Amino acid sequence: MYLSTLNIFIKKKYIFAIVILIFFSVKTIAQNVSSPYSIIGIGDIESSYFNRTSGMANTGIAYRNGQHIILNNPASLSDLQNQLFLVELSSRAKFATYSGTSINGNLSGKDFSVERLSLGIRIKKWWGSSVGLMPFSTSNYSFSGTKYLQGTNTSLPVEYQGSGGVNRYYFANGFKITKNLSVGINTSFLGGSLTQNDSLFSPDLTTDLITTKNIYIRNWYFEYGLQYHIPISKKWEADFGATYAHKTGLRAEYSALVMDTNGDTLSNRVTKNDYFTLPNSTGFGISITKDKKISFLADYRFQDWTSLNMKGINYSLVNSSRYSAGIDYSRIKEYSGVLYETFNLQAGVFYHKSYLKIGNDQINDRGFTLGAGVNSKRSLFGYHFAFEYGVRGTQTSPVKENYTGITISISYKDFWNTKGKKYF
Amino acid sequence: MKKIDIIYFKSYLSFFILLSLALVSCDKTKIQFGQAFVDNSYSNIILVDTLTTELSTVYFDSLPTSGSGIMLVGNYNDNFFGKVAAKSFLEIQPPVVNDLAVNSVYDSLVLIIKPNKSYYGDTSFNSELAVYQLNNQLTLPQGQAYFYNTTDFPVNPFPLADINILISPNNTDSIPIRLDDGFGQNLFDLYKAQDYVMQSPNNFINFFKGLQLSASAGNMHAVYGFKDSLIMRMYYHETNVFNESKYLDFTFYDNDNSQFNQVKADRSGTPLTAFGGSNKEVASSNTNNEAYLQNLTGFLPKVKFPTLRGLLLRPDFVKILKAELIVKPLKDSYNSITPLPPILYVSPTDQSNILGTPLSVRGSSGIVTAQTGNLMIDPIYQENTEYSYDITSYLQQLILVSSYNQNGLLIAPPPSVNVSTLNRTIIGDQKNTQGGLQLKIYYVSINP
Repeated sequence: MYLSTLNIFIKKKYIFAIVILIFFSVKTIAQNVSSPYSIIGIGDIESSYFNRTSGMANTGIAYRNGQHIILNNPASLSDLQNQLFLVELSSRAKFATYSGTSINGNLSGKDFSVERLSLGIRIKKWWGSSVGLMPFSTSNYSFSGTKYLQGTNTSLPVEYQGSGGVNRYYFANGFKITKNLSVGINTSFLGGSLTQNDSLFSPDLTTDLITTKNIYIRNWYFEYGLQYHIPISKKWEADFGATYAHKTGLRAEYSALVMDTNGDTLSNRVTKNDYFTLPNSTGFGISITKDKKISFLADYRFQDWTSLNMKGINYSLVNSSRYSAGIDYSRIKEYSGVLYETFNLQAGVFYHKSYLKIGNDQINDRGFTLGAGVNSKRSLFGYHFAFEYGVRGTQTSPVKENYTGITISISYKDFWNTKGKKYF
Repeated sequence: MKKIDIIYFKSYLSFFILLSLALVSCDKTKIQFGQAFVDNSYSNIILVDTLTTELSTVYFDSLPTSGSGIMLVGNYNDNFFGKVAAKSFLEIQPPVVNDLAVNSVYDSLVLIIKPNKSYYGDTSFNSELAVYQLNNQLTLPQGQAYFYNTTDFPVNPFPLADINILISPNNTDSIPIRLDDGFGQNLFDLYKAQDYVMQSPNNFINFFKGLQLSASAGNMHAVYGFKDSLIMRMYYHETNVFNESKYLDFTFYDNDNSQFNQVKADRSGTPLTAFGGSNKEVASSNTNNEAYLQNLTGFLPKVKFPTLRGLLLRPDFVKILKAELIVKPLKDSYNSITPLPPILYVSPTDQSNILGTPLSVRGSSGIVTAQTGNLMIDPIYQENTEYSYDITSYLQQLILVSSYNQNGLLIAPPPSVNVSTLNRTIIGDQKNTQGGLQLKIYYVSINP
């Protein structure tokens, strides 16, 4: 089935070539918003799906939408519209200001990056499928510190820079088991590297010492989902969803490269091989829809970090819970006998007790989102915009981050396996 | 794809590019959070100042002193280096032969010497300078290009002059020494007669040989430096209605490195009696934990690094990042009478103790010059007086030498001045409490 899609790829090859090109180029140059907490663990684990649910605080475990690739729950892919093939590209612009106990004055940062590229098709009436690439975690920080020149009382300035992240290359499938029950599995390959670069400046010694530590992370990661649809009345219908991912050890290869100012390598070696374990994760969601126009959604996601007993100096990883709720209004028109969405409006709120506990302070993240989408009448493109405002940490946290994100998703829909007939 | 799609796509693409240009800044926001979460221990710079250096004094029997441009004359009794006596030997050339008036009459012959402002010793005392005529010509032996500090030539025991004078090196421009009149008259007659010996420098030297300048041994206060451009001036007058005074200049003959300084020392009663014979190198442990530098009398300190390779046994050792050698002259071993050499080079050497190319430094303009030691003088307490050297690249190479060796650094004045000054210093080894050697090695450490 993907072969047919490939034909379309070839037909539209220039568009895809360009899309993929931007994806990688913008992705690599544009990670500039510092995320101080991302120094811990495998970086900030992304809780956004960069899709149609982004305007609803990424609430969507029970959400189904045949016009969009919804990865919040792979079971939703079974609902992909027949004979449709979808390409979605999402990007996010982010602005942040920082305060908190370890910051004097106001600091801010901004960046822009392409976050997700997805391709989705319905392969059989009972089987929807998607492949793509999106971030799993990112690491991004920069600070200056000091280090003692051992054997002396002299301390030398050090600049620390963290970058990189773990990407998720996924292949997700949703299957309709019965009329109302769908299940799904998202098979991901998580791979990437987290880089920490520290530059020890020693002007008196006429050279600097630049240490680059890399953690290469890779493994397969499986997430399972199910959704159950209950028509309540003629007007009302309900969906329930659940997701689960089993505890997974990611292989982590630690390496370190030490160089001097001249660029001479002083040492380059693998320092250890270890695992970074992702915990058991569960999620539950509910969606209630009236007249196929207005949906009310709520999600709960839980990750069992505490039992992994991951601790460091002054921090520990503890159970995380994320609560979110959203509302979606969709304007539907009928066109040539097919229901067609002209635009949608969304809003959402979330509260996330994150897995990170620094001292006695479990860092939490809360905020609201707004979203709007429009489908072009004259072309095959659809656009979705999500605005997010959030606060991570409190005034008593080491860092309090007020952030604003704007996620822009563009989707391109086309038909395959049709004999030239287009419905819209 | 429809044309309209392409338009949309293009506008989306340009939107992306514009947005990314607007938002991408080169620097991440620096937020002072995270030091507690950094594993700081992997790579470090470590200072080691406990490595042993081995200090010794290397003794050179003789060294060439020909053609230095400086005449050293005088005697000094040094607590460390003994009784040092310097004499200078040189040749003189006659003026071009011209007809002298028949009525010309000899007046006097004066040797004019010019101090070059250098000295070694106490200049507040009078000196007794003597000028002797050499008995033999200053001829280099076959196959030899220089005369040495040990070379000697016999002189006529009756001096041409012997004067007692106070020399202020910084104030005295020139010193006139009246020479023997019988000798002067003789020269005048030969010149007036346009004798064969006045026809060329060679003829003159065959006849006259040369001069030796020395100081009376009874006066041990100082050795002075003079420019070699001395003049032997012959005054005469023509007897007319009024006497008209005139002179003729005999000048320094700079020929074949024939000018040289003899420097001898009587070291009895000093720690330096340990040297001589087969003892060409004596460890500081045998000389009061001291080493001696006075190039012209043959003493140079040598620093060796016998435990350097011990660094390689440290499991975390990666590379010497910087190495600094600090040489501290012994407290109270120097003063204005026996000043420190303003510039000292350090030159690699091996068991042969032959000086290699001095260690250099690249200046900010990129020009490579020899390291001078950047002498810092602590005029009050003398505790922080030091020469310092960056010996990084030297030790980076030395640490690679696995075989047993006598490699080290010789501390010496620059070749341009090493035979024209008696400036000296005494340095202590690491056990000397009055000033000694310090070795600071900064190395890159990486956790094993």
